[in-house]
Amino acid sequence: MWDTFRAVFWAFLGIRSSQGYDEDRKKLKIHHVIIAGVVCALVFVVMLLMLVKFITAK
Amino acid sequence: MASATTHDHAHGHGHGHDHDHHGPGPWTRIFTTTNHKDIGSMYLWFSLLMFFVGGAMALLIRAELFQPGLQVVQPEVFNSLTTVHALVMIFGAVMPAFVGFANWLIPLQIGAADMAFPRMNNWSFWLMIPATILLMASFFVPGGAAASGWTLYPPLSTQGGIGVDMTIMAIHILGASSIMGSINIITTILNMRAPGMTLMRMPMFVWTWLITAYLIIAVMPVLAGCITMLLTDRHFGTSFFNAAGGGDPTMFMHIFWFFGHPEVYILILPAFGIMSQIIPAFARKPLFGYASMVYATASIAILSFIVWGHHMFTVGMPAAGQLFFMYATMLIAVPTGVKIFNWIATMWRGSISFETPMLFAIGFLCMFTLGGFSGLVLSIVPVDITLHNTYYVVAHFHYVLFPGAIWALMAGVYFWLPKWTGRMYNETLGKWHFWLSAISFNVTFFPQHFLGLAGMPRRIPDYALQFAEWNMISTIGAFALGFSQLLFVYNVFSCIRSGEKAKERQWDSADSLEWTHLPSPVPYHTFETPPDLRGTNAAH
Amino acid sequence: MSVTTDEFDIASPAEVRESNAVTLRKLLLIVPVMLVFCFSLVPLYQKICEVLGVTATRAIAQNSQVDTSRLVKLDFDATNRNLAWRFDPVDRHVEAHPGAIVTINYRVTNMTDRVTTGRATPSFGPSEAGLYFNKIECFCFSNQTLQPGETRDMPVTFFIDPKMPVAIEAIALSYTMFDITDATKKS
Repeated sequence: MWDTFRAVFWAFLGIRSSQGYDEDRKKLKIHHVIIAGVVCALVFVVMLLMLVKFITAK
Repeated sequence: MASATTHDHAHGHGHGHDHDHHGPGPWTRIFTTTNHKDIGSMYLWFSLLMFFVGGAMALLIRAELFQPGLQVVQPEVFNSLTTVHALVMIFGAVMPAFVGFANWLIPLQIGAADMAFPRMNNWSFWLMIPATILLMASFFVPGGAAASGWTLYPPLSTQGGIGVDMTIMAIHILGASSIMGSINIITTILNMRAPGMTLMRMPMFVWTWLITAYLIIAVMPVLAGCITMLLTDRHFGTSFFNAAGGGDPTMFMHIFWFFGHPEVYILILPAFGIMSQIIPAFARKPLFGYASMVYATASIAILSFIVWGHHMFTVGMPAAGQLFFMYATMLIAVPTGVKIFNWIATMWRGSISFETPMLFAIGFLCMFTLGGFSGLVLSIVPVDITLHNTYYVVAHFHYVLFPGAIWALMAGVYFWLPKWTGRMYNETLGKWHFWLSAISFNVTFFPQHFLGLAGMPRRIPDYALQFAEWNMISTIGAFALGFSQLLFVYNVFSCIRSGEKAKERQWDSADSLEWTHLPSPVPYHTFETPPDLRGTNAAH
Repeated sequence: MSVTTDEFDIASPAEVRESNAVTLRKLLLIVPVMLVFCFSLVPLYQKICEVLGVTATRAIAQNSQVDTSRLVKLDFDATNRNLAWRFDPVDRHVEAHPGAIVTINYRVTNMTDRVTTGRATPSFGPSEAGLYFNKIECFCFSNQTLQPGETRDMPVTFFIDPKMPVAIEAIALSYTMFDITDATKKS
């Protein structure tokens, strides 16, 4: 679970060490990765929205 | 494909049985063929033709802009030209060309005998022909072709004659064609890989197409729905976008760009894939950060759905919305930037040689990065408010699409021609083609940055006197750019007719299956028994 | 399909065809789902605009106290879009206390010799004033069909929300009348 999210986090940055990738290959299931990817995208959107709200608040 | 093994026993392997599948004659064959190589070639020829059709329209536009005032075309025709130039280049040239590459290469690179649904493959090609005819014929109907810009914004697109309806129908058909093509590609990749060709061992080109195909299936229906609403607004009295009936033209923009931004990545991700095949082959080093590349491509695809608002900062959006889309847009540049660094790291300390495909690849890296940077400039809301709808935007997207998508395609053609035809292209001519393109491209589009910063609006056939010099230079560059593409056509034809024999592994460091397992030219039927790659170190 | 499986066996052609058909069905499902999503963006868009407060129309008008401490200047205007009608406000300028219910009239005359249908849309200046301008009765967004030469008075009954920022001292409300005769004939 945690591993999946860690992999997706690195994916958003676009970097993955070969060591980390080897671990991914052993542990991750592709369905989990896709779900984690969508969840992370939603979290990313919410984070941006909060940041925007914070900035535009007077 | 019913039984690949029986086939093999009956005819032997390789070149032997080329002819018995060609059907009654070449003309019947092009209509009925289900062979992925035939269809791939047909896609590529078609897109080459459309590239020149769209290019001719671009030259008409530039000829009109050579001097201030109206010389060559009337303003209405000018508006139609900018509209149809974009539609032809996007839906007629770049997308079919990438589908052509996919048809040719994906089965070869994953060790499949053909695409998953060969008959549907034939269909998705032939659907494009009536669509293109509709699109081109719209120039000759009363009212002329759609003149609203390729984005078809209402109210411009709810006005206009039957030409607009023809354009909408053409886009519908082209959309159906690309959805069918994408379904074919995804199914092929997921189900027909050779034993041992795991997902994470697939060549980068296959990966980028897998992700692109998902994007296409996800957003083409959105475009279809969007232009259907346009059609019902035009003819059936609905008011989705018609302010008179309580509709909202701004909503069209939101729906359109919800499709439109992923579409931008549809046009560039396969180019990233081609780059990732070519650069390692000429740097003689494996691709740096293969896993990073796959991950980054996937995340770019996901994030491409949340940045559409940056195409419409000025239409009336709360400040919070502008900030959201601005931050999201800037952040999506991070995985894209990482890919650029990965390619540079691939070349780092490699023993690089500069054959034509590599020249185009390096040109891609430099020019695409420039276009990416001007994109970042435009993503800043206050800057965009001044620069939107100016030539700066035109310069930006031509920098990402011409040296991005088109040069990747050129590089790919030069790279795989020896494999496809069994003959080598003329290297000197190829180098001339590259350098002429590189110089004339920059002569054409770099001045457009200055024009945009000085405030010249896009999609206008006339302009104020102070823009005259740079427009003249830009037009000269455009004609040089257009005519130097003829070198490419000549080179391809002379390669097919009389090129030198190519080696099986023409590029000694290219390591995907078509180079390591198949002769040049590739026989008509390949991998009827899938190669067994289990335990081998099949490369990316 | 799993990323982790390194090795797998050769599938028979029948097996491949079978799994291809399954994948085809799954992928084809995405198409109608995204089409439905596209059309659901229409109500979703209205909803989001309402939530974000960037819309001129508010669904529920709440009754409230009259705020006699300030007067808001109201200007009414009318524009004709491709329609041969005379379309003017009867009351051009009004002053009103926030919370007070006011009725003004617009007058239309069909100057043509045909039966014509028009429909009006409102717009506010400043646009955020639209959030506080609560219409109880209005002719906007509904079809007005006029016989040749017919004249009609159309009332607008409204009150201004007392919660409107004091910075807004004046509101201009402008209606644009569109010709939708052709559109109504078709539908």
